[in-house]
Amino acid sequence: MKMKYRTYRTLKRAGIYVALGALTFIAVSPIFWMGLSSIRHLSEVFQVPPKIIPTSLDLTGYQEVFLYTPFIQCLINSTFVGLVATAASIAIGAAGAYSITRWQKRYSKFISQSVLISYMIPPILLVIPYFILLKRVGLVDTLSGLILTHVSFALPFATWLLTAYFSTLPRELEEAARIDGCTNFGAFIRIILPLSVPGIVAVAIFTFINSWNEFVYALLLVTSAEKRTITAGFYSLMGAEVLQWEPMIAWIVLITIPPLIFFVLIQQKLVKGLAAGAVKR
Amino acid sequence: MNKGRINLGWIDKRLDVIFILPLVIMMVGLVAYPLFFSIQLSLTNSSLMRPTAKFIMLRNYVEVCLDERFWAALVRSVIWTVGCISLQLAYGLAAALLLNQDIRGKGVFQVLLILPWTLPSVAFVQIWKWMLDPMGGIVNHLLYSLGVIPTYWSWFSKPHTAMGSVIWTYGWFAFPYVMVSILAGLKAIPQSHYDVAKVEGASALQTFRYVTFPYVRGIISIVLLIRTIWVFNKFAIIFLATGGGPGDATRTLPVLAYETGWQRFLIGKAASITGLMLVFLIIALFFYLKSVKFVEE
Repeated sequence: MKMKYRTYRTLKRAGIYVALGALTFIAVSPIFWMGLSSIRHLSEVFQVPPKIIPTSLDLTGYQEVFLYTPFIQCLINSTFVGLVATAASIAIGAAGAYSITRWQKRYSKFISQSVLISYMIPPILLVIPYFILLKRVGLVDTLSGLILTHVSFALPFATWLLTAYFSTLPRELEEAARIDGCTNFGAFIRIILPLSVPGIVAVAIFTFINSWNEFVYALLLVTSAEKRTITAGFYSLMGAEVLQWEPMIAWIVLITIPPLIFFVLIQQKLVKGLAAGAVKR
Repeated sequence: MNKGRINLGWIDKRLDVIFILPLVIMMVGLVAYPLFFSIQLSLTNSSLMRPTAKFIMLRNYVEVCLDERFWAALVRSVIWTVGCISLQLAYGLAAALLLNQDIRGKGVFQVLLILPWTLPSVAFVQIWKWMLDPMGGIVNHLLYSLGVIPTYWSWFSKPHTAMGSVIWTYGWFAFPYVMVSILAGLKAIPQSHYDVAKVEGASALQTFRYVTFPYVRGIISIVLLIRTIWVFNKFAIIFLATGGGPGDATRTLPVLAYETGWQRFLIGKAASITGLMLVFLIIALFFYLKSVKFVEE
């Protein structure tokens, strides 16, 4: 009886590993395949039958992407847009989230719910009015205009996560600070912010990744080649008369690496934060 | 005390309002007003080819509703949404249930399973286009050598596989969100419930039905609603993968709105299509807020 139970458990465990392995394989192998394709010779990428293990090493794609495509310009644009949108969203979002959690006024709940709903409004519904409105104020086809549109999704997201984060901090800390003669502002700057650095960093990284990956606004609100972001820049490469496969694969790998690395760094925190959000809301 | 100090004190007393004001201004300026403006726009014959626009009441809406392409796109949007949601839920739920088992190396599996979700849309759509390429894509080769398909198949450019292929591509990207959310719900189930089920001699299926499912039901329904809102309005994936084609096989409502606004320059009419999409969104949000309340209670 005991023996039987043990075999059952071993079998069950093996089954779990096989199933988990299969799901993981489907999730990871395309990324892996792309990485391999970027460092092998082009003739091998589209070879029939395909070879799994590369037999050639060819990095001309990486060379070409820097020399013959506007990759660096796009990289600078994306980084600039991402940094400014993230900084603005964190600053405004942290202040708003603190006000919502600290004072809990009648309007606080209404605002935090509106913020959550704003986050649900998809880009395709906003891009049409953005196009006309940005045109009116002369910001269409500018990076400043693009930054504003990125704040439209980054700010609700940052506010939402920071509200959840601040509400986990013990109230007594601030009260103690105020008894010691701290102003409200002082308590926020000297007590709350330092304690929230890990949370703020995680939210900032995730906000930056979202901006980095954004495509619809970058495609439709920016038309000049020199203002394209890495995603819109890749799209224009896709539409080229002569398809340049090698730099395209290199481009894809290069723009995938930053979010991948950042994400692995913050994933524990993010999963917890999302989990808290999913459970609470 | 100097004057500056008195002013600061006043600011500090009203810090609750001062801190929230920038947030409110930004949300009104960047979300509420543009949405309102979009509705206004949908009542005009605004066009990118013409500098002025005339108020034309509901004519755009009437024209859109009389256009059979709108209804065809709506049907495709529903197919797209149902397909994506089913795939993401099945994949995400399976992954979450497996990750919730008591095994070694869970953490590594979890990180790896989340990876697709970090990719930019341009990147993962292109990856799947290459993998499904008829001229030597690895998936075609794999399926061909396993005897699943008789010949290399052009997945994205054949009418009856295009929709399935974009659904698969998006599902591959989006399932980790479902997985993480459900996993959070699973973690909240007290171990004692499972122990009781074991003592009572419940089968694995019964344990899932009577212990696990009641706990995660609330979260699943919230995740489903959030995903429905996102998926229904998703534009980038289809645009990048097929551009709405071949023919009109994958032209969902967002693609139709894009074509109307950016290819035919009828921005007012495009706004009326997204206006109708907004109505669907509001209905979904209504149910979302209701189910959130339900779970909280």
